[in-house]
Order: sequence, then C-alpha cells, then structure tokens
Amino acid sequence: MLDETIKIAKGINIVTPWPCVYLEKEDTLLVSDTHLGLEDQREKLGMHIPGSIMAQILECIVAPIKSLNCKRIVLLGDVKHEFGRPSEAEWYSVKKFIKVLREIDCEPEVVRGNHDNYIIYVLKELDIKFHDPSLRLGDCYLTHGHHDLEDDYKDAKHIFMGHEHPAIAVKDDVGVKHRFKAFLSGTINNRTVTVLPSVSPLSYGNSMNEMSKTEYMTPLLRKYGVDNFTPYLIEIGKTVKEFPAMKHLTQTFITQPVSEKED
Amino acid sequence: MERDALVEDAVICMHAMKGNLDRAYIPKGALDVLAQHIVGMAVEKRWKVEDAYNVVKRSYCYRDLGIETFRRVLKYLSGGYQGLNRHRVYGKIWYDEDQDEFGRKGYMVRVIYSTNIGTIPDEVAVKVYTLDGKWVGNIEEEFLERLSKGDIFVLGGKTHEFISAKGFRAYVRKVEGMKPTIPSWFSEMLPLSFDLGEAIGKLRGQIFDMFTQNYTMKDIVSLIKRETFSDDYAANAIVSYMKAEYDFLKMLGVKEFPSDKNIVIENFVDSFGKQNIIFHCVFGRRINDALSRAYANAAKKMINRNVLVTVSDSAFMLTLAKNSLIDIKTLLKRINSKNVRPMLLDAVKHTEMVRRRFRHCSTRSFMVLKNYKGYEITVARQQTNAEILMRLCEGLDRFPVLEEAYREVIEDLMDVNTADKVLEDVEHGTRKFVICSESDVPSPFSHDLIVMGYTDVVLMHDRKELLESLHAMVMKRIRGEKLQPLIFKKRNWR
Repeated sequence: MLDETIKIAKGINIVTPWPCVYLEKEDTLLVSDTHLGLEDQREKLGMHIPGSIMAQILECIVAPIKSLNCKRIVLLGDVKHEFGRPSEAEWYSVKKFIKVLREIDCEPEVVRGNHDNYIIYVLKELDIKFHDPSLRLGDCYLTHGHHDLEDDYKDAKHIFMGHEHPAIAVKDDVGVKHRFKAFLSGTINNRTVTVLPSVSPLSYGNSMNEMSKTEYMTPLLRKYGVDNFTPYLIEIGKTVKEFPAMKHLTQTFITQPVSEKED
Repeated sequence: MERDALVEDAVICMHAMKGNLDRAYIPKGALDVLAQHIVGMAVEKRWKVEDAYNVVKRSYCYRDLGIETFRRVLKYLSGGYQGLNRHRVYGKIWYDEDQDEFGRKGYMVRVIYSTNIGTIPDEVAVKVYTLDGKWVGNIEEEFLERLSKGDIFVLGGKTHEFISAKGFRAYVRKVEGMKPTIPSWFSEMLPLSFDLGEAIGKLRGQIFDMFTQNYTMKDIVSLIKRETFSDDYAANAIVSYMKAEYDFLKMLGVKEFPSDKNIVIENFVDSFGKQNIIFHCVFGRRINDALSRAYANAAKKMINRNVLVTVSDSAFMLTLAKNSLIDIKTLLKRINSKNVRPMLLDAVKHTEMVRRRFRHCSTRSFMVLKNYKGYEITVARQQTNAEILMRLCEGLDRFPVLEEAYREVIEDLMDVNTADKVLEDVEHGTRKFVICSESDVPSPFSHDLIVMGYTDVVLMHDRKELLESLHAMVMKRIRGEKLQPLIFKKRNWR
C-alpha cells in the first residue's frame, strides 16, 4: 500500500509526492490550509486567476486517499480563505470539495483555523465534525497552530499543525534562487512537531530560512525556533526530498564572492 | 572605452555622413494590445465575431492574425479558461460561441477599460537605501525577489551588499572591490541594429582583406580615417585591434577571417577545463541573443548540464560545464532555419526575461488590473507573484497572455526572424561558419566578452530534476566539500 512514503516517525509518513501526512495507526490523512476561494478573493482585487485551482487542490488530496484507501481525512484549519461572510462562489466550492471527498468514501473532519469563522454553518449543514481548537487522536495532537496551546498537549507525543505555510529558498550553483514548499519536522520538549505546507498552489508560503524567528506566524515556532527541524522540500505531484536541518540552510547558500587576490 | 565600441562609433559616423538609416521595427500580432482593444470595442456595442475580426485585420500589425487566435483571446476575456465548474467571476466580456457574438459584461467594464488602458508597463520601483538612510537608486520588484542577504549587486555603477527589505524599501551596504553575485539579467540596454552590425562586419572584412593583400598599416589607417572621419588615435587603435585579431587567427591556421559573410567560431578551453564556444558575428544583440539561446539549448541537450550564455552585440559565447567537451560541427548541425524558433522558445520559457515580460503582459491584457474599485493591487501581487501566476498559466492550452509574453521575448526583445534569415543564408551558402582549432587562449575579439561575465543561463526545466540537483548540491556542501565557484570568477586576461 505505502509504496512511496517518507517516514517522519513511527507510523507517521509523508505521502510522496503529495503535501499530505498519513497516520498509519489511526488510518487518517492530514492536509492543511486548503484556502478554498482564495482565487475569488484575488479576482475581487482585480487579479484574474485562470484555470481551476480547486481541481489542483483536489488532485493533491484525492490521489493519496485513493492509493491508501483511507477512510478519514482531517483538514488542519483554513479550509476556506475569506474571514468574513462567504461569497456564493465560496459556498459552492466548499460544498463541491466535501462532496468529492464523500464520493470516494472518505469522511472529512475539520480542525478550526483562523480563517474558519463562517464555515461552521456550512459544516453544520453538511453534518461534518468540527473541532475547536484541536483534535486528539491517540497520542497525536492536531491543531491549526495560530493559538498558543502549550498546556493542552502536555501528554501528546506528536503534534501536527499548519498555519505557517512553510517554504524554503535555495540558491543553485549559478546564483538563481528557487523556492519550494516544505514540511518541517523536529522535536520540541520531547514531542515531535510536524508543520504541513499549504495545499493551495496560490499560496506559496514564507521562506522560513530567510526569516528570523520573530517573524514566524505560529506562536510555538516563534517561541522555540526551528533550527533543529528537518525540512522536506516538495514539488507537488513530482517529488519530496529531505534536506539538512534548518540551521544549515540559514544562508540560502550564497556562492562566496571570489576576491581579487585568488586570481 | 571598449574597442568594439570604438569600431561601432566609427561605422556609425561613416553611415551618418552617407545619410543611411536603420530600418524601423514594428511588432506584429501583440495579443495583449488586442485584448485591450477588444474590450474597448465591446464597451461600445455588441459585435458579431466575424465583423470584429475583419475590423482588427485592417491594421498592419494584425493583418496575419488568425481567426482561431482571435477566438482564443475572446475566450480568455470572457473567463473561459477558468474551467467549467467555476463561477465565472472574471469575464470582462461575454462571448456566445453558438451565436458567434460578444459584448460587454456588466457596467464596470467601461470604468475598468478607461482606467487601465495603456501599454507602458507599470513598474513598481523598490527604493534602495543605505543603512544610514541615503537613497541609492531604484530596483525592480522581481530583482528584489531574487536577492538574499549578503548578495552583491551593481546599482548605479557601484557594488552594494543586500542587507534586508521591508515592503518596497531595500537596505544595502556599500562594498568596494567585490564581484557581484547576481547577474544583470535585468539591464535592457539599447542593442546594436542589424543593419549597423552588417556594416561593421563589412568593414572588418575589408580590413582583413587588406591585411591578406599585404597593404601597409599606414595605407589602412589612412583609409579608415578617410572613410570614418576618425582621428589618428582612433584609426590607429582600430587597425591595431584588427591586426592583433588577424595575427592571432593566422597563428591558429585560419584562412578566412571575420566579416559580414564569415562567422568565425573560436573553440577556447580555459584553465578550468571548461569549453567556451565563441561565435563572432556582428548581428547586434537581438539576433545574437536568439542564436545564442538556441545553440545553448542544443548544447544543453548534448551534455545534459546547464549552459552559460554570454552575449554582446558583436559576439556570443557558450560556456559548458567542466570536462564536457562537444564537437562544434555536431552542435552546428543541430540548429537550422526550421528548428531555431522552437529551440529558442524552449530555451527561454523558464527564464527571468519571460517572467518579467509576463508581468507586463498580464497587466496590459487586464489579467491583473492596476486600478480597480480603489483596491491597491500591489497587495495581492505581493502574495501571488508573477512566478506563481505563470506556473498556473503553463498548465493551460495556449493561454493568450503567456503566449504574448513568449512572443515579446523572442520577437521584440530578441529577433528570431532575422536569426532565422541568417541561418537560411548559411544554408544557401551566402554566409558560412569558420571553425578554429582548439586554443587555450581567447582571441583579442573575445576579450570584452569574457570579462563581461555571463548574461543568462539556459536552465534545466523540470522542477523535479531541479529539486534533485539542488538536493545533491546542498548535501555536498554540508559534507564540507568545496564547490567550485561557477560564477563571476574574474579572469584577468587583459
């Protein structure tokens, strides 16, 4: 079944080449920050987004569900983008999204994110479990990550969160900078912490290795930093690669300028 | 002053006195401008597609426009590329394929049209300051995106180290005597025209002819003085420059010399074991840009590594990775007048140039609006940059906005049509390639080019391959292996 996965910890895998994490014991797929309707918000600002973003997001989720044949998917917050009252297009896309998941016999559950204010009504209507502010599955603690909830997960072994939209910038040997979305995984106070990238192709993310600790969005990461975290760079639908720990990536690999004397 | 520039000035002088002018270039078939125009037409009345098409065809620039392309622009403007399952939010016009008609959609279109038309690209300048608050100059948004802390780049002729950026302000520190780590993709200097280039080639040929016919230096200098109205110093400098090249090529056993008919190709292997293939052709940068990318793409396919490209008005150079020598004859066979366009297109698709042009095109074709309901579009653009938008468009079937960006790069910025003609000439035998034997020193004509530093890289296209090669590179560096600095190693040959 799991022909292509990268193991983060025992029973916890990245389903390559998709931006999803699979919990073996709980038979649950984790996905974060789908930001449905982001393209509509862009259009409102006067930026036309061609093509179907929804189709691309669904592909990232449906492919692993089908290959794993898993029955439950937990969306780690920010299911839709708009903070306020959802537009007609947004209602439509959320409903369509849920419908597709149910069609392939996979039950979605939602952990509340900072964008998920009005979605509660949609979820109620569709009878979907909504967890605020977090969900406990065995020794796993699933949260969106925008609140500081350190006291809540004292007895959890693994923590999963989204919110941060991590990405990593790397320079190649000719000086061109490339940005890739990334999973971040590391240990904070003897618990593994895994941060999932956003699924949306429109929201690329923050280059974590070019920011200082204080600029991170997630309180937990802001507090402890990510120096010892391992990034797994992903090109969605293509490949995932494990990179050296974040502390090695702080400089984005600038080719050192050659001084005159060397010549 | 570079000696090539001196020759150029002399020839300009010669032709100015004769009253010769460069031919004018008019871009044809621009789809972004067409998109603007269609919206403008739709604001006024409801159109039959046929009728509107015939109106547009009356313009010189669109006389070759196909009806199918016209329909694709209509499809784009009506939001038809958004997929069937979506609410069509975008649509500036409605387009009824059954009735074959189109017209404006909504009352906002007139406002959008009149507040967003125009073809001058809207550049958001990022202001650059030193740490003590002195303004240094402006850079472009995309350039800023490429900078990392510690990068060194040239601004206003001086080198600066990038420290940080906040919004549309960048902070730098002045550094002296450091080599830039960021290549200057972004400078769009005015290129030499093809006609002037040919005239320079002709003069080169004349002077080389006189050398072979054993004219004295004095004779040649006085001819140059008379023809180009230059003074003693200039004429002497020109002739001694040509003489140095002549002696060098003769030493290599070359019998035919650079002219408007001969394209001399140097095969220079440097001290790092890297092969540099230098084409001496004074066609101007627009044509050399096109030819160099096409050949670089062919070379990249032969060795499966990135190829560095250096281009000037009078020559271009391909630099290959260490220890991957290729046979020049084989390389030349890979490019002909039939495949130069697809090869070039393939080479430029993932370059900074296209990305930048794409941003301009997306604004011009109303894909990204400058002014809309009082919103500040820069906010959305900061979060969704041209790169992401472009990647989305790449997945679509011949999306007009992206196609226009490609067209602008290969036809307006570069000149693929003339490059094509040059290759045709070669096929018909009116021009020819002259390949020099391998040398470990570059000829005098190449010196300016080598000192210039490379202008572009024809990169690997596949993001998967890219990520894998980056991974290999990073792992190497983590293990402490010293990587060879590939770029901007200054070579002091002069």
